[in-house]
Amino acid sequence: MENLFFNTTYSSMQDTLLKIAVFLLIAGLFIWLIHLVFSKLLFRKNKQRKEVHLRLAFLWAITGCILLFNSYVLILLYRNGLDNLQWTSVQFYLGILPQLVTYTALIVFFFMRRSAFKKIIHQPSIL
Amino acid sequence: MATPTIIIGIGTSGLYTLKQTQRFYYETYGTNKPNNVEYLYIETNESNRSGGTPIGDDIRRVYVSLDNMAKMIEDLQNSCGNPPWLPDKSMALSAGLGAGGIRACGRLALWGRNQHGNNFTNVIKAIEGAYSRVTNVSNNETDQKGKPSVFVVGSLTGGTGAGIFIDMGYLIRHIISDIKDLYGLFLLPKEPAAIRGNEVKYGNAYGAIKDLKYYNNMMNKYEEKWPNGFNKDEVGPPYELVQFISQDYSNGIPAISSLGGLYKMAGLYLFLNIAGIYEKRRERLVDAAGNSLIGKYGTFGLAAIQFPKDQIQELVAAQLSINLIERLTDSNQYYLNGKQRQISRAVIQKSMPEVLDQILESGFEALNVVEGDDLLLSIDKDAIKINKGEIKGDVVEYIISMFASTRNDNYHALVNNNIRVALNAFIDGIYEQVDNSLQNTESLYYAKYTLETITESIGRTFKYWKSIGLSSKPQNWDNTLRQLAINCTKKTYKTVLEHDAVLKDRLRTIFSLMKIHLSIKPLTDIRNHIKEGRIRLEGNSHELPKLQLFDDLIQQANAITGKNDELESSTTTFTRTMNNIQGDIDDITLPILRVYPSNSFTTECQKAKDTFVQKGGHVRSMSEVIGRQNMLTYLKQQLKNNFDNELYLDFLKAFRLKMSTLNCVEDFNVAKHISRSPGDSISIAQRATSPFLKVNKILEPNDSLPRFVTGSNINEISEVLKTFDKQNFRGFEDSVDGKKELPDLKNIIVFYDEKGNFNPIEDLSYIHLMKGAYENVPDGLADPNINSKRWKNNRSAYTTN
Repeated sequence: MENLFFNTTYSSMQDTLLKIAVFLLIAGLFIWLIHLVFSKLLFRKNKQRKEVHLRLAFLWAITGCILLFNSYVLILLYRNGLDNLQWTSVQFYLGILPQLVTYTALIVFFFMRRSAFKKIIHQPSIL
Repeated sequence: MATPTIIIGIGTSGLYTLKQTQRFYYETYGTNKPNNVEYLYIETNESNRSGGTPIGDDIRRVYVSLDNMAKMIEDLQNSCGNPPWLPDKSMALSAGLGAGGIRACGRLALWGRNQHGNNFTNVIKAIEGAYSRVTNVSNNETDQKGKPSVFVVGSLTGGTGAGIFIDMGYLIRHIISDIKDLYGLFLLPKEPAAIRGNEVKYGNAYGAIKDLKYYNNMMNKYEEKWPNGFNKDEVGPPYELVQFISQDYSNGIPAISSLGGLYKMAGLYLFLNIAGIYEKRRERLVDAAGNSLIGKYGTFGLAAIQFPKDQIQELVAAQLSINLIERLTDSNQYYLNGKQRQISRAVIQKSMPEVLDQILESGFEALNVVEGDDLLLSIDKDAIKINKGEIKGDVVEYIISMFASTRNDNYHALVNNNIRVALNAFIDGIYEQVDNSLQNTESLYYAKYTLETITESIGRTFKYWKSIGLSSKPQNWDNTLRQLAINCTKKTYKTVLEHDAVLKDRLRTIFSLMKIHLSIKPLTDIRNHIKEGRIRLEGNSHELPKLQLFDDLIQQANAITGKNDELESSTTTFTRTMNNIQGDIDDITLPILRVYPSNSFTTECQKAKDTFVQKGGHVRSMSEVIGRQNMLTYLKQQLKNNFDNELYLDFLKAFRLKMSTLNCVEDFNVAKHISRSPGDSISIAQRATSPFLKVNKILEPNDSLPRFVTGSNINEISEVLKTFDKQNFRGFEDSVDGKKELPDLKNIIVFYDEKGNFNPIEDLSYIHLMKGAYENVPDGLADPNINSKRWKNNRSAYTTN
């Protein structure tokens, strides 16, 4: 497990792809979990439509997930030691590719959902 | 005990005189008449009505209709043995308004009946009613039945008065068997500068005097079969005493300039009689009659020195009323918390969407419950049923069936059948909004703009609804509903266990949209009603106001200030009132000398207004007139009634009352003023010694005839008479008979001198001119059918030849 989350050494593309899949799966799991909690706790007194609350809660869930991922990255850097990281080596970047992909995916996903949410709010539509 | 009195006005002049009597009484006592006095007027012209005082009108009208004269004549020919005085049908048809100056037509009005009723019976009933009321009051007050006195007042120049005055005398005696006295006070035309053009007036008056002379002769008999079947057969004069007055003076002093002035003096005379001089007069008249010093004809001179407190109050009240109406109808400004502000349509428009949202919300909320069932709860249950899979068939179709317009057992049908509830809520909401605007600003324009802005906001809301695909058409709704139903099945949020809440919410949203779709039609009706007023719409407690309502209110309110000439000339406006008061004050031919502490009517009015503003604030408010009453309700009510008249009276009454409460015009001691400057006062008192009639015979003062000064305090009257004596004027004696105290008669001293012992048919200085007008057809009449016989018939109403 430690190898999966804190090892920054590139071994093979197959491992990297597997790690990306695991990271995305875990991120998704976290988002769902936080969304589940937020959907019960946030905006309970808001008079907006339920769907609006849930979409807003979902954005907060992604934000929460990004925060958690940031915390994980901090721990990752701490455990490996900043001085030991080969910032100029391609191998290093291939080693942290799952983290980079997950991070980027979370941010892109956030803005995609945000954009959809804004559309719902601002467009004069009842559908 | 005050004598119960009935004053009966006949014809238009009778009405105008009664109005003056009522006015004098109101000015002095604050009420229109004492309880034991009744005013009646009998009129053939339907458009003539009494105006009343600020506290209303106590003159009872008896309309004797002359509609369908030919039928009336035919009827009397059959029922009364074809009396010879009846006008011929062709003559009657050309009479025009009222009796048309034809005496026989006036008499026909009293005797006849038509589709409006039986005139004769109506007059009898009115007199019986008045008799019953005046005697009942006196019974209550003293437990002793008082015999009533009756005054009949009118002019002898027209058709009505000159036609019925003799019948009225005998009829009144017949109805009131225990009558104390029956007096006639009849107005004659003044000495003509030229008779041309006035032949009817003078001819009628001559004919009337001639007829009266006939019945005053004990050798002659009044013998008629009345329309009620009673054969009246009586020897003796119709009246104890008939007094004639005209705009002339016997001693060459200029005549009263207007007929209005003569009505005023006749009104003052009648007022003084009901106020208390009647008993004093009667004591003297009984002696005079016993000594044959008065005869059957009399006249009088009357003059007064007055501080016109009432006129000042009325004029200032009219000014204040105009100020208030100007506030109501100001299109640019309004007052809020005593501060003047600009009416800004932008400000009104800014706040209106939020207000309309609240109104719509309240209407939509009202639709959530149908016959006690909460539809929202029911929808929630349906959502849970759907999520649990307890429904048959497809979810989308099931949702569509819940809200589709094609079914009559779903939410659509329930709400549609209940849509009136929302309409009521919308109407009440809009009404309240407009009402609040009016109540807060007291500006009709502000309220109108509020209503206008509401309609604009409804229009904008419609546009928005249209933009999101909503309309009132059922087909459109069903199409939209399908999309909404499909949307319900997407993204159900089951993963976060919120599918029930989401579906409930989505179904409720569909329900809200359905309510909007169903409300578009009633809201369109509301908008059309406000703008065009084609449909009448009422909410639970209010009728929806229209823009036209405010336009009407503004227009009519402006009209009673005299800003436009849309009101009929007979309608009273504040400007007309002010002009009439000013005209009356400025009329120097009237034998009433107006005196003031400041020597100026204008200054007194300004002083009164300044005092009012100082004590009552500088901004006028409707609360001064209607108290805590709702302004919109009040104005709408007045609009349903006789707006200009009701508003006029309410405003005037309110401001007059407030002026009295704030004591804006203080009483003025007229007697002291006379003592200080007796010159003008003596000249006015001298005018009272000359009667209002130009006779060739010198009517010498006689101790047996009433001649006295009346005022509020007997000592002050004595002071006045002493002052006069010092100035060598001894027209009125400082004796018990020469003075009459009427404690409530503040601000005025009246000089009264009664004359008698003359015969108008011989002594009236211009009787020969009247006789000529009576006997000869004028040249160049428009109607070529009028020959000498017909002319004379028109001037005659009784068979006295």
